[in-house]
Amino acid sequence: MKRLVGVLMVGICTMGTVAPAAAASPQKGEVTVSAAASLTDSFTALAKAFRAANPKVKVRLNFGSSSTLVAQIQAGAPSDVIAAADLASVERLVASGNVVAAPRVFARNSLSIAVKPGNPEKVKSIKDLARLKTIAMCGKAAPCGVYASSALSRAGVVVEESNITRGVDAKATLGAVVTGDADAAIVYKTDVIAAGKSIHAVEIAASSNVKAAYGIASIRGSKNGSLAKAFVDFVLSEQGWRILKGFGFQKP
Amino acid sequence: MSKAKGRDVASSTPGFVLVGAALGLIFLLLPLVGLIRRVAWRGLLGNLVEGPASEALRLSLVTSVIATCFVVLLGLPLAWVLARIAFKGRSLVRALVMLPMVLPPVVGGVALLGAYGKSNGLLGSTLYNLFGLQLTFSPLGVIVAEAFVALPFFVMAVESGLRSIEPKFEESAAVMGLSSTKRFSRVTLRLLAPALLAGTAVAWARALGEFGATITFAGNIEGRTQTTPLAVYLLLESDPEAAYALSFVLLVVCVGVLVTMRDRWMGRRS
Amino acid sequence: MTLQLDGRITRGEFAIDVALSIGNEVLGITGPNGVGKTSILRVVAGLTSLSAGSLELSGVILDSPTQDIFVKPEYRNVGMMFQDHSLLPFRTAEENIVFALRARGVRVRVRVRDARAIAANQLEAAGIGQYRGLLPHQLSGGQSQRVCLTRALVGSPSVVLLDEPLSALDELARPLVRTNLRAALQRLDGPKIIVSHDSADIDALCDRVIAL
Repeated sequence: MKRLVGVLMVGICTMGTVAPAAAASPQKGEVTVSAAASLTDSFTALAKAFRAANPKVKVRLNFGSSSTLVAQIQAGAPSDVIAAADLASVERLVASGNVVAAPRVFARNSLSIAVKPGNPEKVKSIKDLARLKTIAMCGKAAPCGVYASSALSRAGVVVEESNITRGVDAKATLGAVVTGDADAAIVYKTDVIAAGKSIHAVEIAASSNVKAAYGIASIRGSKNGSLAKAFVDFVLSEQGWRILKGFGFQKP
Repeated sequence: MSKAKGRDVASSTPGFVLVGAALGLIFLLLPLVGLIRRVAWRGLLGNLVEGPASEALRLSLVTSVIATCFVVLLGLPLAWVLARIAFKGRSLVRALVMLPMVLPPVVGGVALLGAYGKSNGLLGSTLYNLFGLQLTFSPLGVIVAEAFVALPFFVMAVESGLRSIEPKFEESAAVMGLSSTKRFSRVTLRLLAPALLAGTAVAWARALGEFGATITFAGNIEGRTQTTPLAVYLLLESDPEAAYALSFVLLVVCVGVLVTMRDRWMGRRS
Repeated sequence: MTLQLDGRITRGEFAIDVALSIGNEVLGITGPNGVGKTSILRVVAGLTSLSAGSLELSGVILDSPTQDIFVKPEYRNVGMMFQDHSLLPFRTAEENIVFALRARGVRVRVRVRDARAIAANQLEAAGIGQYRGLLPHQLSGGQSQRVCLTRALVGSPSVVLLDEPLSALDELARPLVRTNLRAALQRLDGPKIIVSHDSADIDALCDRVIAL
């Protein structure tokens, strides 16, 4: 009975209307969300908005490389929601039994190149990456690393492994250009937008670029199943999409 | 010299101390046992001899040894000055020398970038513009990062060793006729040997295990700057067996060093 | 050879004025603890400096603050035995003596073989030959003290300084060691100073006594 009432409440809240206090009691409790590093800013904003609609809810955000997050969940990390930078990561969780339903796409992203402000190495396109000394990319097994390799091969560009420094996640990869000495980084467009003036962005032509599909799902066996579902629905809602769009994501 | 057992005041230990020690031991040993359990013994050699794992091992070995040499060369004079020369602000200098020990390693890496980074490091930009020398993303950068975090450990061990040398030995040697250089090499260094060894061992172990400063300053380039700890981190997702195998090697190396050092941590006593 | 000491020794807040003139004889210095007996030895050895006055050996000034002269201990050719035995812990008894012989012999190279022979002989003569292969931590207090003593006298020092040389010896061993030491001191030329609490030691070993 309690559950039914809970579901009804969630339904009302996610429709964006706020019922009079007497009629609808907002969700309460804690929900832990494991999200890809490239979702850092957007999910922080989403969590804030979710909290605004449900003041008694605490959202714990756990950011990292999608592949690291998958490994953590498979090892038993108590997470309620997974939001990964690709569908394959969530599907691995389905295969290992940690996620029941198939992932739902909540946003799309594509790649971009970040270089130092002023573009000292005069990078004009992805093809120029071959002549640079050090390029930062995500780990080979991480989604953004896979996407980046794919983009390079689609453009017919070969970069020596000895010139690639691998960041632990998308944010760290970008950091190699912002704070470090890397000549360029292949990261998500959203990361590049978030970095603002601290880097100079170089576009990757659509012919070589990838369309990353970000997947979200609740994790099976979590103690906060209804809250997890509520959060997932919120991300997939109009309001959720508006927030994601504001950070540069593309329509799912 | 014999030790009377059991009844002496000095050799009796309160029960709660023994319990605490046992708990501490279990706390430390359980994870090590857990790690060993995960190692896939059959494929162990295969995992280590090929691919990124072997590259990482080779790189770690070379860089950590060179970094340790660097640490000894710089650390010995530093420890000497801190131990033997009383100057104004000595305790402040000592605190600064110990700083990399308490600094989170990634912060250490950022600090190294600020000093030796090619783009806007204090010294780094000069080095690059004048000599074309880039420390970041190079094995030399790995050595710099490892030496940076390991130096305080060496200085601490050696300074303490120097302070514990009683003046009477060096004085006696002086009266016997040895000049100060000869006293240093024939008496002081010999007396300092246990502390030197312990300091070198702990500095090397620290250099070997360094992650945060290395990945921030020298990056994570397979074969060039991907040391064993970095490789383990990345391999945990793509090839966990290789990761455990590598971790096991690190474990064995450290245990080996510690066992060889066993009595000398405390200096040679009867 | 004459040792002339006439000056002030300052140790922190404590200062002592000393005037000594020692020829080819054994001088005993006795007195309560802390009064400065060891400081006198340290000044003669060159481990501490005078704050005023001068120290001369056969007319050669070793220490004179006013004239800004200070001869370092390694150049003074002093044989000294410290109160808290300073045998090198990483060398055997024999090797410790060899070390002293070769250290002193910097100006005249002493070969290791010769030094070993001399060391072995000296230890034999002192009655402790059987301990020569032992490390200091394997020796009892008395045994290591006797090795220290032997080491102080080896190699023809110009000045001999002994600080409580027999303090660790039991009553049985003392008479023999006293006799040996007296003989060894007679054989050496030059000023010799012994600091001791023990009146029997002073009587047996010294030609003169000063009480501080």
